[in-house]
Formats: sequence, C-alpha cells, structure tokens
Amino acid sequence: MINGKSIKLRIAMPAAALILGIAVAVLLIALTGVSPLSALRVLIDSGFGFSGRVAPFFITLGSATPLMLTGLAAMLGFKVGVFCIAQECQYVFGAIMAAWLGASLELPSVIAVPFIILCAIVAGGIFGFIPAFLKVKLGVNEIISSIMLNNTATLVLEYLVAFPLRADAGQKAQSEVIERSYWLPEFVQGSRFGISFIIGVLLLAFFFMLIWKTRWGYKMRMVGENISFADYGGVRSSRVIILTLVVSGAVAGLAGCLEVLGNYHRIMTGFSSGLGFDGLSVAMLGLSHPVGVFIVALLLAGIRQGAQLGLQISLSIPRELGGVLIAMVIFFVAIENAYKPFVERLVGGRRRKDAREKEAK
Amino acid sequence: MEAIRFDHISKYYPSTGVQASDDISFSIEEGEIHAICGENGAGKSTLMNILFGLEKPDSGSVFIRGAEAAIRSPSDAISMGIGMVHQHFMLVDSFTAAENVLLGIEDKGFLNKSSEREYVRKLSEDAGMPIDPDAPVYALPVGQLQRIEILKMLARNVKILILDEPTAVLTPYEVGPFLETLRKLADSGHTVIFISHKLQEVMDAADRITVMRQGKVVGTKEKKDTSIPELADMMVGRKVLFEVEKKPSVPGDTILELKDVTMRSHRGRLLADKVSFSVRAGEIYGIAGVSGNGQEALISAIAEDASIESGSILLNGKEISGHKIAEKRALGMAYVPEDRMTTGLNMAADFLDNSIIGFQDSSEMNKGLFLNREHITERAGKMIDDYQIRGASVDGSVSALSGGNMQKVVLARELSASPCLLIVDQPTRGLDVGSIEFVHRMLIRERDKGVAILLLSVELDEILSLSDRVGVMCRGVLQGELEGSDINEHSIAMLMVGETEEGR
Repeated sequence: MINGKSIKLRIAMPAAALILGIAVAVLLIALTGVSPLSALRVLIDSGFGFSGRVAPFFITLGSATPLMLTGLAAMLGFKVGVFCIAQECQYVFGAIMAAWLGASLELPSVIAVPFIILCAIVAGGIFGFIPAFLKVKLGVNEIISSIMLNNTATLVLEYLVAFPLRADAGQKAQSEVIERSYWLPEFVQGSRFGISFIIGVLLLAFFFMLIWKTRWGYKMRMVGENISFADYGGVRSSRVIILTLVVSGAVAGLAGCLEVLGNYHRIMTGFSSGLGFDGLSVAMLGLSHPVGVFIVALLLAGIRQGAQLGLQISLSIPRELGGVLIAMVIFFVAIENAYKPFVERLVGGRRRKDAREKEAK
Repeated sequence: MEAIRFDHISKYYPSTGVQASDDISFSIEEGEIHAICGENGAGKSTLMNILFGLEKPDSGSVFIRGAEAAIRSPSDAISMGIGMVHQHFMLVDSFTAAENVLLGIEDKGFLNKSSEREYVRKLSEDAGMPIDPDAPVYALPVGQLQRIEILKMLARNVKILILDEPTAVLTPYEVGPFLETLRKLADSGHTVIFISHKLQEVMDAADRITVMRQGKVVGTKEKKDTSIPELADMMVGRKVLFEVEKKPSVPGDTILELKDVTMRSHRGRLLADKVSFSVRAGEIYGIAGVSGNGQEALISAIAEDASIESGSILLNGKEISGHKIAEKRALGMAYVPEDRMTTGLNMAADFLDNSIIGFQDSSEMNKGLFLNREHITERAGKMIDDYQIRGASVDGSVSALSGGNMQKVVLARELSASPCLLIVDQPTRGLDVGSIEFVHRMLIRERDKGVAILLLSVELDEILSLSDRVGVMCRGVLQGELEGSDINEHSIAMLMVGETEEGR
C-alpha cells in the first residue's frame, strides 16, 4: 500500500523517538546517582523478564491487554480521519456495565458472561455513537464532545460507586465483587494474563484483515484519507464514520468489561487511571496499525511494570521515572519534525549513494 | 542591456533523481517581457527558484546586469531588485491591501495610516493597477490579490519581476487586462519574466520566449519570428496536432435528458432555471459559460447527489435526480471531476486504491468477503499499459505523477467499465500541450464508440474543437443551443453574455 522508502521511514521515526526518550531517561537516572546501565537492566528484567514467583513478562502481557484494546479503538477513529478521544468514557461505561450486571445477575455463567460482554459492547457503542452523530449531522467537533463525555463518565462512576452500587462493607467507595463464576480465567496465577489477552490479539488480527483486505476497510481508509474522493466514488462517508466510531466505542467498552471480569472483579473510583487516553498514545506511537498497536502496548506496559517493580522496589528510584520515560517518547513523537531530516538521511543513505553513482555515469 | 544571464546552470535532485536544470544558459534583456514556457516538469520553476534564491544550483552562475551575483536567499534577491510572485498568494487575510503591500517595510516600524495609504494608492495607480488601499484582503477577488502581490514587490523597488503562472488563477476575462498591465510595467523600465504554458498568452504578451524541455533550454525566440505551432513543437519535442481530427458525429438514442431542471442554493438563490437539454449516444455535448452561471450546480445534480427543486433528470429513461451516486454509477454513469487533486484522486493512497473507487462494491472487485486483490492488481496493470501512464506502478503513490498522468489515471478508471454516459468537467485544466492532445483524442475515441459525453469547460477553444452540440449557460438559464456550423466563437460569446439567438 505504500512504497518501501516510506515504510522504512515510518518505522524509523518511532524507533528514533523511543531511543531519544530512553536517552533522556538514562540522563535522569544518572542524576540520581545510580548507574544508568544497571538501572536499564533492572527495568528490562522486571518489565520483560521471566524470573521471580510470577514472571514479570506475563504481568506485562496482562496489563498490556486493555492498552491494546483502547489503542485499537483510537486507531479505528484515526482510520476514518476522526480524532475521537471518548475511549476513556466508553471504557468506564463498559466497566460499569460489567460490575453492575456481574454483581446482580443470577444466571449460569455460560449465559451470564456473554450477556455481560454484549451489554458492555452496546454501552461502549452508544458512547461512540453520540460524538459521531453530533459530528456528522451537526458539525460538532468530536474532540470537544468526547472530552465532555469523558468528564461525565468520571462523575457518573463516582456517584455510582459512592451510592447505588456501593458495597456495604468497608470505607472505600467501590462496588461489590462480582459473582465468582463470572471471573475470566488467568493463564498464570496472579499475572492478569488471561483469556482477555487472546481476545485482544484476535481483535487486532480481525481488524487488520477488515481494514486492508475488505471493501468495508477500503471505504474506511478512503473516507479517512480523502473524504471528497470517497463521496465522489459513491461511498456514503457519514454512514462509514458513524459505524466506525460505534465499533470503536464497542471495542473500548469491551476493554473496560474485560478488566472487570478478568482483573479487578469490581469497580471503584479512579478505576480507569487514564487507560482511555493511553489508548490514544498507543494508537499514535503504533502508527495506527494493528501490529504497531500490539508492540507499543507491550512496550508501554513493560516500561510501567519495570519502573514500578524494578526501579522503585529494588533501586528506590521513583517509579514515576517510567512515566517520565513514556512521556519523553510521546514528546519526541510530537516534535518529530525537528529531527526528521536527520533520520531521513540515516534511512536514505543508500539511496543517495545510488543517486550519486548514477550521476557519475 | 542585459538584465540577467544564466551561465551553465545545473541542478540535480537526488531524492527524486530528476535533473531539473541541465546546463542552462540564456539571457534576459532589460525592459522586456520574457516568457519561459515548457510542459509541467520542464524545469521552469526550478530555474526561477534559483534566480530568487530559494534553491542553490549545483554548478553555474547567475549574472545580474553583467556582474556575477551570489543569491543565497529571497532577501538577497530582493535587495538586488529581483522579486517573485508565486502561484499561491502569500497575503494576510485580515489586513488591508495597503497593510499587506507594506508589511515588513513600514516607515521606522510605525504605522502612519494616511501617508501609507496615499503611498500605496499612488504606487498602484502609477503601475496601472489601481487598488483600494483600505479594502480588507479577504473581501477581494483573485485578480486584485494578484495586483497586491505585484505591488508588494514594486514597493520594494524591484526592477526584475518573476511571475509564476500568473494567469492560472485568473478568469478568461481578467487575462487580457492583466497582460496589458504587464506591458505597462515593461514600458516603465521593469523587466518581466513570465512563466506559462499557455501559448496564446505567451504570444500575446511576450517580447521574447524561451522554451524549456526536460531541464534544458530548447531555444529562445523573438515573438515576431515564431508561432504557436512552432512553440508547441519545441515544448513537446514532436509535432502537435492542434486541430482535433474528428468525423461528423453519428448520434444514437438519447442517454441523458434534463427536463425543466430548477435548482436553488441553500440561501434560496436561483442556480438553474428550467434547464432542458439532452445528450445522445455518440455525441459530445459541450456546456459553455462563464464559471458561476449554473453549470456547476447542474453537474452537482447530474453526477453528484445535489437535489433539485423541480424538473427531472433521466439517464436511459430512468429518473436519477436525488439518487445516490452509487446508483447512478450502476446505471452507467462515469464522471471525471473538475479537481483531480482533491476529488478525482486520493493523493494519500496508492494506484490500486485509486483504481477501484466507484467500483468498491462491484462483484468484479470482490471475492467473497474480501477484495479480489489479484484481479484488482491485474486490472490496474492493464490501465497503466493501455493508457501509457508514465511513472505509475500498481503499488506506487499517485501523488508523484505529473498532472497529465494523473488525469490519465482518472480517465482510465472512469472508462474501465464501458460507461454509456461520460461527464467531464474541465478535463484539461492545468495540463500541458501534449496531455491536452491525449485527453482530447481519448474523448473523441469514446464518442466514436457510442458514449454520450457531457463536456464542461471554461476554455472556449476546448468547447469549439470537441463539441458536436453546444449549450450556453448564462445566469442559470440555458441561453441557447448551437449545432454544426453555427458553433463559433462569436455565437457562443454572444450567448455567454446573455444575448439570445433571436436578438442577434
């Protein structure tokens, strides 16, 4: 779909951002007096290693799962040219659905679990439809409407766990634990790495096929790349945008639902901790491509994990450094134009030599 | 006296592998209008960018009034008295004309409104292109904006003025007066370098003409010693057929029929008023008119999904007004839109994606749930071969193609399904001579195959040389229809300005 030169550049640019981000983090670690090299080793060991009671790598796979899904949700919006950032809201409503139904349904799990997942998908989809409909029919900016929806979701969640869904026992504002038989299985005890991960990978593969191999994906890409071209060719762009954002919302809603069923088993204030927004970073760093989303979700989860488990606990470097590292990478992605010519020269080195040889002839 | 001399200028772009300037040497006399023409990609703009300090040559030098000049930036160029007006204007919309002219060269950094305005007014009147110094730029028409760009340069005491395709943005009616102002500038001692590929204008305006092809100078001619056909041959490198060869049309059944079509804008303005005409198989029906007289509205109702207030549009006897674009296409409509860069093609996508728009739901392109990539690739490869689309590959981007080759991609795609109705809107706008010839031959070929063709063009020459019948629009009304030997420049022009046939 794109020629070789730009593929190389498209991979080289985020790689450069990652390297630059690590460089800054190394500098900061050096300032704390710890040897940067050993700190990096600890970071990698406790983010991606296999030692310890529960292998850190599996924990990373587990915490990468919601990132993969919210990243996929954001990516779908990007594909139709819409910067919808309502993933946070959809994620929260998906989770609320799961926590509420999970604690109140009294059905056999074979019926209850699919039903809960379906309801969470619908909830997410509804909150995808709202900004999409407002944008297409009334021209409301999707960023603004989704920011407001995100705030709404946070407040609704606070109310629900403080009052109607609140578990009686305990001081904390949290809902009751969901029915034990609805819990999704973990592959490795205590790692969060479970069936959700498989669902995430399958969805990434599914959307990869959909976007690049089918006519529906073709329409999405054309709408995202050039809407007047799509309209000219008889693609009904409004419909494509609305449908895509509904699906995107459903995916984010599913992410919240799987976190409740497979991981937290209840819902509490501050449940999301910005996972919806992380999805945007994942989609952008992952170049709006399912493979990129997969890799970046793992990287982000691993760095966080490594910073918390490794740096903070074994080296007493604040775990926020992991956050700083991720923030630096995002920063370098944002200012990519500043060093793009340099990377282009590195990547294009061969090409220029060829050209010179041609000239010499 | 010699104003500029290019001495063995060469410039190579390694990233695209293009030798944009190849050992260029020629000179421009002071006080002359010197046209530089050539097809798109011949290297005209690169050479001018070198002169204006935007590009550095790999080798060779530029002499200004006999002295070798090191022009490293546009500000160097301006201080040497060289100014350039680009094709795309660089003005501050919210400023007035006078503020734009003086932006950056205000007296001592303070704005002195009344004397500034007076200065700009006088400057513009002396130069023979009066402007209202107080008019905000956003409210001005394109022709005025161009004047402001030129005045910007004159206010900086520029003596050598480079104009990059200045007439491309003007309507046919603005071109004549514009060329006259160039003459006035030359008479007052300015040297005007004027880039164009429209040979008629070049012959109207220039004293001398330099023709470029593939980065080389083909030759410099005095206007009185040359002719349009000679220049065209020099540009293309072979004989160009100006008269499109065509046999008399053999019209068949009526394919497209408009009956009393009335359209209004959102604000209720009448766009088309009871327009009726029909296009038959095997004929080219041209619609002439100054742009903005309702042709655009009609096309949006016929080929796109604009709705009409009353009347009907029939394609092969079926009502299509208000129908979805996909349904119209399924009935055999093909459409080459006015703007190939934003509508006809998707610049961000590769050739394959561009080759199937409009056919994305057809059973031919799909195999089960998936797109039939094998078939799509084969079909695209065939398009590239059949239409000799130079520089294209099935998985390459279309954005690097030249204008002519882009238009070939659109034509190849639109003709691939053997349509019965082909709508072409400004099919040769911005194309060079060789590509115009190709597109015209292609349209005649389709006509002879029995396709009904509806042609919209603001180029009168194009309407005259292609159409079998002509309808002329004026203020939303189909002012008259002409056929056969009645089609000539005079009769169309009369109808365009609203004279009726009876009134002649």
